[in-house]
Amino acid sequence: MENYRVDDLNSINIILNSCSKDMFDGLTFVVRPVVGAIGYLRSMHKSYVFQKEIEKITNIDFETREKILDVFSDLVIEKNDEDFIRQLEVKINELNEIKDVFSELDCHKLNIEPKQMHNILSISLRRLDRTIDSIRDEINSMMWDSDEDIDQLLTLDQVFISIQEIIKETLDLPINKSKDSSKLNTLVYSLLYIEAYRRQKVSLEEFQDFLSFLSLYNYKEGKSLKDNDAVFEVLTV
Amino acid sequence: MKFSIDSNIIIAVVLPTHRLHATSIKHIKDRHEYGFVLSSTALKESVTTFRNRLNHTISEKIMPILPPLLDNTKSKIERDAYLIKSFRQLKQDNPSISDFLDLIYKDIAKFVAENDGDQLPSFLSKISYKHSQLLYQKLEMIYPHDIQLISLNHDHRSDVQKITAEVYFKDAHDKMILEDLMTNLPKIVPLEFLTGDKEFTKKIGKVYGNCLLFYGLDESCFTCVFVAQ
Repeated sequence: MENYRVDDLNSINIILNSCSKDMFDGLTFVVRPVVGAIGYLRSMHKSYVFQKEIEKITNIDFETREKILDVFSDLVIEKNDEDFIRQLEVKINELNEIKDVFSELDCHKLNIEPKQMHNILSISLRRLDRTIDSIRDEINSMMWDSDEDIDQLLTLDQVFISIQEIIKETLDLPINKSKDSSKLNTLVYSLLYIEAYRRQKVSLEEFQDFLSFLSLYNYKEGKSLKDNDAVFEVLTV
Repeated sequence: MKFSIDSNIIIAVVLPTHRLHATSIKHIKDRHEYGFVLSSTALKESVTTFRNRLNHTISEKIMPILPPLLDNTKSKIERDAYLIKSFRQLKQDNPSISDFLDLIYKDIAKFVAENDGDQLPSFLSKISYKHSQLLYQKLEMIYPHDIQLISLNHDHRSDVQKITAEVYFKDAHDKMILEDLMTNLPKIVPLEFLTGDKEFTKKIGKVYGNCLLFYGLDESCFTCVFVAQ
């Protein structure tokens, strides 16, 4: 965490510092979906199996959470490939603070049917989607303030829009494809890329190029956008 | 035969008033029987440039006129009249983006008629994001065949980077674009690379010979074409 200073407060950092718990929770919803679906587990009479571990994760203190996100966000500097989640799991197993609890949750989920696991993932992803809605509301409010760096806020908002598009695509996947989807890989990578930016491990220019990568990833060939040459006029300004 | 284009040529082909627009389109049309190989860095750089301009236009020109739209002491007719008057002024002050402002005016007028005006920044953010994707669509329209997207090939990364390290690139994107091409070279030759940047052309000239030598390819496998007006 040496490179990360909380006093480096630009518009994006103010938002991201205030929602670091949301980002951590959102990440666990994807990596261990049971964490975001305790209500559903209760309805299946299986919450008792997971409750203890879920509470441990939910109650991780600020310092530990920041340390974990710091270690995880180092990974995005090193790699961006289809194996990202597997590499993240290796990191999880090296972190004493969480390795046992994450491992327990992984073992317990073996008792859950694939269809139920699909439902759990869907519930967790919808929770992540709502969390992002709240963060985007904060960004929206901040953009009304003329003293803020609105260009930067727009970039951050658009990264979250991209992530919400990936969530939507993942939710539409059939049961047999959702668990090992490359979209989950990109989703986790994107959340951690935001954390890497908050910690100044990537520059604003890299963050903007990452957004371009996401928008290309989400672009649907053949799904015609409303063609209008007028939009290209802004390139003359 | 294959060809590839720099980010400045991507911008030139999508912008009808660009000084290199007609020439760049002609270069691409002349190569319609070639395979089109696109560096992912060049594509990302051009989309970033385009989206940053869209975002900046929104933040600098559109956002400052929006706050009065939230004034509930004014009637809807008064707010509508304010919006029309503000955009008329914006168009007068910014004639080069007049059509773009017409487009945005329609979107904003429709949004505030149907939604809470407080959410306008989020709405404009999404519009800008979606508009920026039009760049891909435009490229597909200009070259309506498969476009092969290439990224840095890690198998040859260290060897190629030893060669590119000998030359100083002021723009990090230029170096990355060249490395996208050079690390994939054996799979995409013979290749013509089009750029409108004279300095970049010179830098490429200092690098590609050693890359060809490294792969055991002859001189005819790579050509850099400087696109001028």
